[in-house]
Amino acid sequence: MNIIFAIATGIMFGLGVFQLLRRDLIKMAMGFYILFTAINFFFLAVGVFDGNVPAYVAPKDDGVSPLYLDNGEVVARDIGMTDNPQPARPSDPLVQALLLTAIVISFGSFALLLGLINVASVRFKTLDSDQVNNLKA
Amino acid sequence: MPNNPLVLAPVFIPLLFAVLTLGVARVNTNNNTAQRYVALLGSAIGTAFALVILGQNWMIAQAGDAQGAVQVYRLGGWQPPYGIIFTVDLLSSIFAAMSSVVVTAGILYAVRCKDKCVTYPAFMPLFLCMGGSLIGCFYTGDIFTLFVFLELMVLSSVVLVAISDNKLGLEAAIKYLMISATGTLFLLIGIAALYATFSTLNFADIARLLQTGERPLLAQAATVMLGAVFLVKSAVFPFHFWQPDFHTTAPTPVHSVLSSVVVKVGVYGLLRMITLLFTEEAALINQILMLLGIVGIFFGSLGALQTYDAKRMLAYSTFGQIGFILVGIGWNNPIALIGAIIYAVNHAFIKSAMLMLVGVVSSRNTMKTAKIKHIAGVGKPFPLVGILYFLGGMALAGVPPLNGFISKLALVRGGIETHEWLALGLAVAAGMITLLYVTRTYVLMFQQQPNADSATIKEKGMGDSAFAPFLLISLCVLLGIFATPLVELVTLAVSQMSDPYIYIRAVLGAL
Repeated sequence: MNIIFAIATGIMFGLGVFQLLRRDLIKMAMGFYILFTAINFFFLAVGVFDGNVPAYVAPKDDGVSPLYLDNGEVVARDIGMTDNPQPARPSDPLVQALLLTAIVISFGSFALLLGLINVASVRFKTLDSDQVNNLKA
Repeated sequence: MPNNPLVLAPVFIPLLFAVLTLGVARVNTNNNTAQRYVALLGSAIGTAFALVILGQNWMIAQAGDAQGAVQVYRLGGWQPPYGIIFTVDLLSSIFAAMSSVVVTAGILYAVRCKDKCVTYPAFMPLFLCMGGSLIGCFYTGDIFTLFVFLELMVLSSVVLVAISDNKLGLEAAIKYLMISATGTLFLLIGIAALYATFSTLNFADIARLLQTGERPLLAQAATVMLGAVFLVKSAVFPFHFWQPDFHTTAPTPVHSVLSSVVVKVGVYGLLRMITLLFTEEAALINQILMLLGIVGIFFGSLGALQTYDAKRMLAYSTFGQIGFILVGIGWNNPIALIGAIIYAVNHAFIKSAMLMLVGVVSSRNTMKTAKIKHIAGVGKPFPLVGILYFLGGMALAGVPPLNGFISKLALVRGGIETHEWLALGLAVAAGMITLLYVTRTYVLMFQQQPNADSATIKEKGMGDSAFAPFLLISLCVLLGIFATPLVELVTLAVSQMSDPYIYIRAVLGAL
């Protein structure tokens, strides 16, 4: 799994940087979003695959969480591992919380960027960043 | 480890008032005076709290309890290293008090500002968001919250520049959003790398684990990433290219905040990196910072000398002054560090006041620009503004008895202490250029005869827009004449920073 994630993150990172350097402003914005997603992948790979059970499972009706034995020992059972119970390592919930925040922020920045590019395309009648060059005095 | 909920106030009161000002805003009119006064009230309350926290920390530190002068608030009540935490030591409280004073002065200027963009209903909420998130960056004790506040600051400042009266604002805003958002992406990579290595986000806990001397490859990568982000944020030499455009096209009240305190976030981050997190790599980082600082001093000063716009000149000047601060940090010596922090504080007051004065003068000509050919002689009927600009310029150049002299003196003392003669000579020589460009614009704006064909001067009263720069300039004069308290305060802060274990123990309890 790690190898797949490493390759995917690498490809998306390269793609994002390549698109970020394009002349077309929309492609540039897309590159920004791809880059952000690549970093989200990296974040995901940091901690999400460490454990073998979910971070939290709601207790059943009898009040017992399916992750715990009656004597309190943590065991992965009832999630397809009943044949071979082994000590459960809950996966890291913090990574997912951080990831959600990062996704929201990336979405906000991307929306703002697209809005600005929209206004710029109306004002300059072009999306070619080489012709949006009024700042060159 | 007392839990002080007061430290939430300087961050969240401006954010709360940002929502309130949206409520009082009236769409489709140009009369949003009520909204501006509500914003001013919110920012003033936030500033009062920031000053109270600074005072508390100062009194505790003066009583000799360096560890007690790190105030914490654990949001949600989780015991560190879990949960979000606000950690306010002396360095944070100094930077936060400085920036909330400058932001309040910026709003005070905006209340009477004649720019059209100030009347938009979204202006004041965005300004308060920028101010609140700025202080959040200084107060937070956890690296992911730093990322969130940085993004909030970037987004609100981008919109503020995009709605500027200057037609070029939009282009500069797109440019800055791309560069700065990509910069914060690298902060996110750094956070992920640190989290993968140490499984914690708390500054104190990361510092504790780094102090053990273990350096996995990912942690070294994180050092580079964090360094790059903070260099982008404070527009240091190889990453400076966005700064003059973005700052020049901003509305004057926004420019006075961006150019003086927003660039200090990077300086603060670098200080935290060197003194708390990566103390073992500090020697190498300091070498790089000193080199970049020297290049920045020359680049910024020479750029300021030959530019075509008074606001752009001050933006380039910020670039040069950040160079001085970095050189002070790079000398890696407590005395030089005291100099660098005093320099950062004094420069914020001077630069924001000077930018407001240029804004006051440039709003007098019909072109409403600060271009050299339009601004010549425009300030001649207003000798009081001229005197204020002259005082500010002399403070920037470091002429006694103004506060700029104190900061230059403290910095030079640090340089002599470290025996870095080459860097010291170059820095002092480049500092002379400041005198040149400041005097030139003073003569241009306030002494020359008006340029008859290019611009006509509107004969109106000055209004109250000169009030905010007047307050800041009087603060500069006061800090020049009574410099001892600030120097003592910064000395206490540096002695607190000299031992990272003070910060770590204050957050995590006895180890």
